[in-house]
Parts: sequence; C-alpha cells; structure tokens
Amino acid sequence: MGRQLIWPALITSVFTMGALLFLPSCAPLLPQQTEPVFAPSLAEALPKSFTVVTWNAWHGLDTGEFWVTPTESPEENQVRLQHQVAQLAATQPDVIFLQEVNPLPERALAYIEGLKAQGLAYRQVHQVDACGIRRRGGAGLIPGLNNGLVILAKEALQLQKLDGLKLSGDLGQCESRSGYQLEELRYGLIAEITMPGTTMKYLVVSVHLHSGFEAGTPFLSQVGTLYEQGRFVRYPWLQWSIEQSRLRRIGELDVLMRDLYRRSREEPYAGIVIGGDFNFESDFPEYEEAVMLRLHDTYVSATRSGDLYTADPVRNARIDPHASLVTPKELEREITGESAENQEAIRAAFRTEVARPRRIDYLFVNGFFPDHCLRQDLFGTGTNAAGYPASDHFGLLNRYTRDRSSCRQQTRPAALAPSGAPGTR
Amino acid sequence: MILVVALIGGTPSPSVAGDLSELQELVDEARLTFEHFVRHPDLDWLRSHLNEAKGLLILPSVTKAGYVLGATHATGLFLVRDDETNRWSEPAFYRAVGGSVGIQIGIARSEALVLVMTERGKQSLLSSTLIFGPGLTVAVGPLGRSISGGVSSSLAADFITYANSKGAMAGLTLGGMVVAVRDDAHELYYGKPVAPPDILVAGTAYNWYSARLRKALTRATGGQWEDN
Repeated sequence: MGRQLIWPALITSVFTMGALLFLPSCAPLLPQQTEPVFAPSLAEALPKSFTVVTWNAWHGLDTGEFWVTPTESPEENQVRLQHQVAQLAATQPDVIFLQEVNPLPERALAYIEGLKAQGLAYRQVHQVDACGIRRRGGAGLIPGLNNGLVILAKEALQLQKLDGLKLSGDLGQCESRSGYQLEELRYGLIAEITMPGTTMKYLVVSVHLHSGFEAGTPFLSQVGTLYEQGRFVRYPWLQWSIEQSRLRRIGELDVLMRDLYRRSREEPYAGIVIGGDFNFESDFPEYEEAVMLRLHDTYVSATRSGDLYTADPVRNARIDPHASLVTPKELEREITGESAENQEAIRAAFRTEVARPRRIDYLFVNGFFPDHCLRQDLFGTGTNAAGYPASDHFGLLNRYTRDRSSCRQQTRPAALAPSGAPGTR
Repeated sequence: MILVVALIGGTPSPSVAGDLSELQELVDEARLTFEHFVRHPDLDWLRSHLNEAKGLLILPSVTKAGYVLGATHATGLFLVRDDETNRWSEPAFYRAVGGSVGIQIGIARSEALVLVMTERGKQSLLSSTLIFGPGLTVAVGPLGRSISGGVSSSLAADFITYANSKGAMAGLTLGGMVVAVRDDAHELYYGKPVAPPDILVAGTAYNWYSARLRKALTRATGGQWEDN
C-alpha cells in the first residue's frame, strides 16, 4: 500500500521538476515587427555611377587537412599583391569585397597603402576566418595562417564594420590577431556604407562559404548512371556526403540572411549587396535558397558578354593542374569496393568535373541601385609576363550607371518581402 | 502530470517567443533537420512512406538533461499535408517537455522527426496541449535500405518517430511527454493571433519565410510547388 501511495507522488515530482528545468524566462515581448522592406532608394539621390567588385584574392597557401604551407616566396607574394592593387587602382571600384586575404590585418592595410600610393583613399574592415591557433599578440601555431574577409570602400562612403558573424563551425573563434580554430569556420563580414550627401545606408557583406566536396550536375549525372548500371554501389553514400556540404552552405546562408533581416528591421537600410565566393553553382540547391531568401543574382539582370566563369581551369593558369589527380577522400572511401575498372571510370568522371569552368562567385543584391543600368564583367583577368593572373579566381565587376542608353531590358529584382500587413507576411 | 500541463498551459505567453529572428531560426533548423532525415541513405522506409503521413512534427533540438531525475525539452514545428495536392501547410509552433527517473547523468542533444500517421494523431496535435500516453500509439521508424511495402502491423501507429544523435539514427521516446502550442510564437510569426487549426487546416495564416521548409516537404512527398 505504501508503495502505491509513494509512486504517483514521485512521478508527479519528476515531471514537475522536468518542466521547471525548462521554464521560460519572463522577458517582455518585443514589439510587433514587420518583415524587412527596404527604404526606397531614390535614384536621383544616388551617384550617377557606382562600381562594385568581388574577388577571391587567393591566400597563396597549400591547404592540407592539418597544416598549410606557402606556395610562393615572400617576393612572389608581394609581386602578386602589386598586380592586384594595380588592377583595382585602374578600375577604382567604390566597394571591393575580398576573400582569402592573407595575412590579416597586414594585407588589408597593404591594399589601403597601395591604393593610397595611386592617389586613392579607401577604408578597410576585415574579419579573419582561418586563424589556426594564435595567441594574442603572438605567433600562430601554424605560421602564415591568419586570412579571411575584407571590404574596401572609398573614404567618402564612411565604411563601418558592424559584425564578423560566424556562419558555421562550433569549435573556434577568430579575432583579428588571435584565436583558435579546431575545425573549419565560416564567417560573414557585415558592414555599412552611407551614400555621400545623403542619409541612405546600405548593408555590405563579404562572404566565403563552406567548400567541402564540390560536385556539380555533370559529375553527379555521370556517376548516377554508373550507379544505375550497378557499377557504383555506394553512390547514395557519396551523394549523402555531397549533400552534407550543400546543407552546410544552406545553413550558412540562412544564418547570414536572418541577421541581415534583423538589422533591416531595426534600421532603415536602403538595400543589401553581398559579394563573395559562395562555392555553389546556379543549378545547386544553395542558389535556390539564396533566391528564396529574396536575394537577386546580378548576373541574371546585367548586361554582360559570356558566361563569366570565376573558377576557370581553362583560362586561369593559377588553378593547379595537378589538383585533378588527387581525388577527395570521400570519393576514395566510397569506391573502395568497386572493381579497378569501375574505380577508374568514377575517377575519370571526377577529373572531368574539376577541369570544368564554373561560376561560383556572385554579387547578390536586394534594393541596391534597382533603377540603374547594370553591366557585369569578369575582374582580375590581367596576367603577368608568365601568363599568371593575380588570383586563382576571377572576380566580378558590377558597373551601375544612370545612363540607360546602352542598357538592355533589365529584370527588376523582386521586392525583399511582401508588405508587413498582418497575416500576409 | 497535471502539474506539468498546468505549468505549460499557464505560462505567460509573451515570455517565450523571443524575437522574430529566433522563430525564423527554428524554421530554418526544422528544414535542415528534415533534410538530414529524408536524404539519409539508411532511411528508405521514411522516404517511401512520407507521403502517407497526415502531418509532421519536426524537433530540431531535443535536449535531455538529468542526474537521477531527468528532463527532456524540445521546441519544434508541426505541419499538415493536404491529401489531394501533397502540399504542406504553414508551420505551427510547439514546445515539448517530459521527465524521467532512473540511472542517468549528463546532457544529450538530438534532432527528431515524428510522422503523424492517423487522423486521430493529427487531431490530438490541433488541441492546445497533447499528452503522449494511453490512447495514442507510438512506433520507432525502421532503419535500413530497400525496405519496401506498406506500413506493417507493427507500425500501425499514430506516431512514428526518428531521432538522430551525432549521426546515429534511432527512435524518440515520446511516452509521458507533453506537447503544447506556442500561441505567443504564432502571434509574432504571423502578425496576428492564430491557433493551430487556422494555420494547419484553414490556411488563414502566411509567412513568406516558411516557403523553403514547405517547398522541401512538398517536393519530398511528390507535390508540386509553385513559387509565389
């Protein structure tokens, strides 16, 4: 009888304590917030022309799983920097998004100095996204590893850093001159600019998303056929590995856009421009994610010539021709049980894949110069005497102009979101 | 048990929703959780039976903490499938708590998916509070590849659960858990006070931010999605 009386009381206590452990705090409810609808850009208040560049400047490192080593001498590295500065100075972009700037913060300041020597005044903000283990004010465990994201903007634009937002990676934190990194970390460098003579502010963002095992539709289609023929039994597991990379990039986009939307709810920004190395192509699910997050790929609406491949092994001599000879460990793991003939067929598909030109760098916008005419070109295609460009990526150059005479019919980007009417958001 | 229900039901609603970004994060996390399950090579049964589900409860973060006495907490979303179009509703926000006693120590986190297979199961989640107990049947979802056929007799359950802890797939113990609607979250997310039947059945609430989640579910169940 005693047991019958005690147990119900005990069980009730257990559940009560369980619920109490998770009782919510009593913070006040924030006021009703509408979805971000950007303040209208007044075309006549905007400059007649405006140029934006995004460019993965290449860290110049050979990256292994646990270590990195420089692939060029300090002298070669300086020559490459000067080559980059010369191309930037010749174009004089208003805003420049850079990735893989190495090392930080010195290299960011070197751009400023280099441009200043050409009579051009810029400001810089930066965020390290690859730091290894680096104690404050001291040397790093992996020498030469402290690279990341930079935004340069003409001084008149009053560039200000708002945040270095971590997009993915739990084990680590990179600061400007210190940090620790026990796994891959990805950040978004978020800043704001103010249009001269106005109060119009824009969010400007430089990003470099997760890389991982990048495989496009041609490769997946080829190895998918081998799977259907019974020649690649573990293809679903390879597909799963590839999808993990894709889901990570999708998650990174989600984190970034939530933050930008929150900022646009809190301050009347006139628009967003995001430049970076996104590591996905336009037929990947990540691209669809970006579009559904109300980002507009300026490539789509710009006047341009050609496909503007930013990672182009055919045209860019910096892309390591031997890279195709090393197949990723994920692929090797899944093909182990196949016959030598099938393994070779799968590796051949991979070699074809990595030799394919791809468009993986983008300038995404919303509300950014929506009524100006836009032309998009590759940037950084100039080569040195030996035929090498200044980076293993080509950049993108967007030229906005109010002169519509040479402007093709453009698709106006979709509004960021429907109006904030209750129930219709 | 009554106390648990009272605690959940009596919680002042304004205090739990946080800001809109937190709800958007939950929607994003739910979408990623769904993708983790539905694309996993070992979950053939899930893929082939998803379009038989009446609804889906997605719990991106299930936390179990305990030292002899244990507690479980999860927040998540419930969506309902339209039988005719295979399109999925907007999400309703829920919170789940439970307790346990026994040999246990530490904290464990996982993500979980609960397929709601019957009308009875669906209706139970439309009410403001659901207690998993006698009267509702729960089964653990099968794992493995190339499992075919309909829902076997052992899976003639109201709810079928999957849980993923650091890549290890298993089921989720729902017995004794209490699931409660987060009305405050609905008001913040949809911009007006709405209840689960408004969101899940009548379709009178809409937020563009859920489109990616709904599209993923609709595609996975063979429905057609049209972007707005």
